[in-house]
Formats: sequence, structure tokens, C-alpha cells
Amino acid sequence: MGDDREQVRSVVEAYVAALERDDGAGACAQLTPAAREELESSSGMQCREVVTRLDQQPGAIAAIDIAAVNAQVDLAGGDTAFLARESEGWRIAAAGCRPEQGKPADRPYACEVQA
Amino acid sequence: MRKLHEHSLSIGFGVLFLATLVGQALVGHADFNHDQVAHQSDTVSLGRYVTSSPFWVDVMENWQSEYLQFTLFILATVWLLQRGSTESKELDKAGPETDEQQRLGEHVSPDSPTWAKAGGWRTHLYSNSLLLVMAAIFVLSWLAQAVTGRIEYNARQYDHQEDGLDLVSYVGTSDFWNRTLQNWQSEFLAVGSMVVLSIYLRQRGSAESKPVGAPHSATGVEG
Repeated sequence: MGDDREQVRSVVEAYVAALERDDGAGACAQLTPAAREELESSSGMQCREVVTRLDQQPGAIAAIDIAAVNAQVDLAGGDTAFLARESEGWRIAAAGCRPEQGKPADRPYACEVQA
Repeated sequence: MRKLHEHSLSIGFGVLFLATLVGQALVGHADFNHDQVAHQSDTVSLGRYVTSSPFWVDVMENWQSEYLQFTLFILATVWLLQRGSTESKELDKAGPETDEQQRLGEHVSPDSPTWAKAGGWRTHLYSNSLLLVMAAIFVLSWLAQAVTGRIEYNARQYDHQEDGLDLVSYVGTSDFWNRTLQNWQSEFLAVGSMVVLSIYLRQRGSAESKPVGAPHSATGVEG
């Protein structure tokens, strides 16, 4: 569990840092293959070209919760990221997520990047 | 060999339990990975699966209901009766019974358990030990179901980009109560079935059956 927490933290921090320096390839490397594919098919562009242009407000990590092979990370800028544990390690399955109409537990967040 | 024979019931069911737990781990792992692939996620190893909440919630939800079944059945059969059933005491013996019937106080024998002979709080505690232990295992396994069930539930929530819940909130969810009640209904059905079927049906040689020739009205008789 401690290892998982550290991995989740480093993946999200790497993603946020890549966005801040406008490094699309670096940000895409933290996404799951399914999230990258969805982003590319919905935008018609390469992941590295579109990911830094999305409406994302990340910021520092405010909270991490890990549940089995999934995780939720809340960021200080208001965004939430959802991660999945892949064979090569934790990766971001959805990013730039914000709750719709408050914070109900039974409605999905609206996400800029989503598998 | 004789020891094996004298303990064959516990050994037999111990082996069955271990074999089916291993079987559950294997098919549960395959089922979990099938779902992972369907959600475009990667599969997990067997070792990872059997140390995860998705496996343990499935184990605990079943354990808690079995121990609840025994707790309630042990408690109920002190006072409640069923004419003709092997699962009931005789009709004139409802309640905790006398010290003479329970072989306590001046009615203990040299081979009575130590705490049955001790008197005082030890005998009082020992007199309720079966119920207390069954109830304790029920409570602990139900708590374990809640803890692991919340993690498994939150994993599914996060997979769908939804919020997770804390433990108190999770215990109020339909997910928790669906797992709980689907197990409870089958336990109570099983006990009820045994109580009623043992009135009219027989299994020659079984400790759970009346002798084949015993009348339907014979209560609290096993053969």
C-alpha cells in the first residue's frame, strides 16, 4: 500500500509538472493507453499535441485515496484525477475531472481526459 | 488411524473448506480479470488478487452470514420449539433448563469441563461461551465485510470517475445491504428448511436425522 501511494503520487506529480512546462509527450506518458486513445480519437490529433491545450486546473496534490487497483487524487487547483494500476504501474485513466453540480457520490465527474 | 476415524467429521469439513476456498480464489481471480479486460484495464496476478479487497469481501460476506446463522440458531433453540423436529429441544424443556439438566453445581461429574466445575463467573461465562464466540466471529467478519466492501466499492466508483465513500457512508449503501441480505436470506432458509424437513424426512445413520422408524411427532430425537 505504501508503494502504491508513492507510485500514484509520482505519476500525478509528473503529469502536473509536464503540463506546467507544456510537455505534451511527458504528460501523455502518464496516461493509460486507453485514455490516450480516447483523447486522440475524440480530438483527431496526437495526444502530445492536445493534452496541454485542455481546460485543466491541476495544482499540488491535496488528497490521495487508493482502492484496490483504482485511485482518486484531488488536486489543489480543483481538478481530480482517477488512476488505474496497469501492468507497467499506476497510470492516469481520467484527468481534468470536476464534479457536476456539487459532489454527489453517484454521478460521474466530467473529465477532460477519460478512457 | 483410530484418531483419524474419531475426528473424521472435522477433518472432512476442514478439507472441504480449504479446497473450496482455493477454488474460490482461482475462479474469483479469473472473473476479476475478465472484468478488468472488459473495462480496458490490465489483469492482476493471483497473489495480488488474494490479498485484495475484492477477494476478501466475497469471503467475509459469506463467513458473517454463516456465523449469524449459528448465533441466532443457538440462541433461538434455547426458547423456541418445533414439534417433531430434530433441531428442537423436547417440548417441555424450553428455556435455560435446571442445573440438574445441565449437570452444573452439585450435579457436575469428575469429567465435566474445568470451567463447568469452577462456579461463579467462570461457569456463567462458559455456559454462554458457544453463543459468545459465534457472535464475536459474526461481528468481526461483518466488520471485515464492511471494510473490504467499501474498498471494493470505491475501486468501482473510481473506475467510473465517481467519488468514493467513507466507512459510515458505505454501511448505508445498497451495495453493503445487498451483499448482507442476499447471504442472510439463504442462511435463514437453510435453517428453516432443516427444522421443517427433519420432521417428515429421514436419513438413515445421520446424526441430523431421527431414526427412520421414529414418528413425525417425536421431538429433539436424533439417530
